[in-house]
Amino acid sequence: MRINVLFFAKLREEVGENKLSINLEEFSSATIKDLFDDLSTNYKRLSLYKGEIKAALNQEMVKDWNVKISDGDEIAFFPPITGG
Amino acid sequence: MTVFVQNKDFKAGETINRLSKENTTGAVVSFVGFVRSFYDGQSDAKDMKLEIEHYPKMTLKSLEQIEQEARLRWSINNVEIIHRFGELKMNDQIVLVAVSSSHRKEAFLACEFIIDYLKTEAPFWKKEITDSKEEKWVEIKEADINKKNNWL
Repeated sequence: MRINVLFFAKLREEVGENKLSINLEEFSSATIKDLFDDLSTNYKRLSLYKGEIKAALNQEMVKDWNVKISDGDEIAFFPPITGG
Repeated sequence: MTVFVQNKDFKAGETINRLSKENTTGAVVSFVGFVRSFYDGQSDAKDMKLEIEHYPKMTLKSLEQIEQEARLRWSINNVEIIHRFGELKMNDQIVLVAVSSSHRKEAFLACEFIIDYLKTEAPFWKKEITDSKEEKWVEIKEADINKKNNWL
């Protein structure tokens, strides 16, 4: 299955990409948490922010990172929001 | 609800005018947020900039959720939100939240609720760029989290 992963703000700069299209068979990922751990092995500096990173699945904030990923999903990782 | 996410400036008066047209509207409350100097005690730093990034596909969804939450709590007529992105300078307008209702109390409360939620839930991120071109992402403020949590 194929998913899109987006990065914003500081994380976009750390990863050096704003979007990755990933074929999940290449990863062992099944949940948001697994995906993040897999990405952290490729993009080591991501793990520096692990405690503060927020995630969204199909544009909805994800509180529980154990939520499963499905084909075509859009997953975004970003630092805490500083709007307004 | 009407939402505008744009680079260009806005006129709060036009929004207030739009919201005041309904027959059942007796009050419009608006909040405007501006870029202020992020140097402590140095207001003469003219060249500082603020760069605002956002997640376009998520922005509208999150603002609609915030509006729905507000409607569960108070009887309000309409909401208009304008949030700018891109490069802004000191004193520029950043955000407008305006709420109309029959009576002022609901509009005051809903307006404050929406801006408090927007600051921590709507996917915008700010970066400060100093006169000497140093860049720094703005960190989330404890006070903003507390303000939001006070509504829970």
